[in-house]
Amino acid sequence: MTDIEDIDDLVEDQPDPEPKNDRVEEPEEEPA
Amino acid sequence: MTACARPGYLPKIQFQNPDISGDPYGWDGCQAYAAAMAADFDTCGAVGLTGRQVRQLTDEPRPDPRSPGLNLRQIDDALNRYGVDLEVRYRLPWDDFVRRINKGEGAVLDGATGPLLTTKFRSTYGDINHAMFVPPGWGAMDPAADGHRSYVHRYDGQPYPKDLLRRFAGHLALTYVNGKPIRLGLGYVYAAFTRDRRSTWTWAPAKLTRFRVYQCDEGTHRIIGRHWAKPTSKAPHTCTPPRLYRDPTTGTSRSLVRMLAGEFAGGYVNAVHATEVP
Repeated sequence: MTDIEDIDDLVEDQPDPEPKNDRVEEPEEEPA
Repeated sequence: MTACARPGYLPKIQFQNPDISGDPYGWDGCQAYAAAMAADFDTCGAVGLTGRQVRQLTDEPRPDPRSPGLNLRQIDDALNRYGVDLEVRYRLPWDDFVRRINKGEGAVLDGATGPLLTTKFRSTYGDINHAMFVPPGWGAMDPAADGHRSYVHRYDGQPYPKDLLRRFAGHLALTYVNGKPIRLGLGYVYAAFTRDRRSTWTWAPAKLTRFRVYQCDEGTHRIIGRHWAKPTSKAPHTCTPPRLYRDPTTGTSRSLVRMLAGEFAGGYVNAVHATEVP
């Protein structure tokens, strides 16, 4: 049985993602 | 306030476009270019790094072809080598971001460009994760906004609508599951602030439930131990400003504060419950 305190523990302990920026893609031609 | 004591000082805009920067990795480098402008702002121009140089100072000087960009932790580590210490925050409430920019701080703001595409502030062809530097006054400095295409905005110092930046920030793709982006969510921010050296911070638990207390090495900024603890009161106590500490068990970093008083004095706790004293 998981009580609410255990769920809070899990949330507290989750690592945050560390997203990167993406490459700025250059279209071959100027879009209309 | 940052280390720079010249009110109104703005950094020089730095464009990532290789035709302007001469940087072969320029199109992968918005985070590095935003960081370079943050260092310029933080030091009133004394640290005059280019975005290209910031990339070279990171642990990924040559872009990983599978994921060629950079994250906030990487630029913080790079600028630390030049004495510029950014305060990196994950999932910060938008209202806190607004308050700090209005107070005179600058920040690298991460987001995704989808909300910009239908506005005059569009700077990218598609909807991608991107970074820009936001100074006091909200004249966001987008390293891609060089006007080199008809659909690309050219930086002119004009303030960006706050709500547009709020949507840009919340649209950040944190990760992908089955090819679909998991976005940060409206009202939250991933950002790296130029450090306010005069600020005072306090920390108080949101609930009287168990939470993690960490031990950290200040030389390497790494987590070296952890245990569970349970607070006996919600009273706030003074702590240091937040900073990132590398967690070797996950390979990511955590934003923590060190408690300076109270029952957990000396321990490090999650910065999400820390508050800057106005």
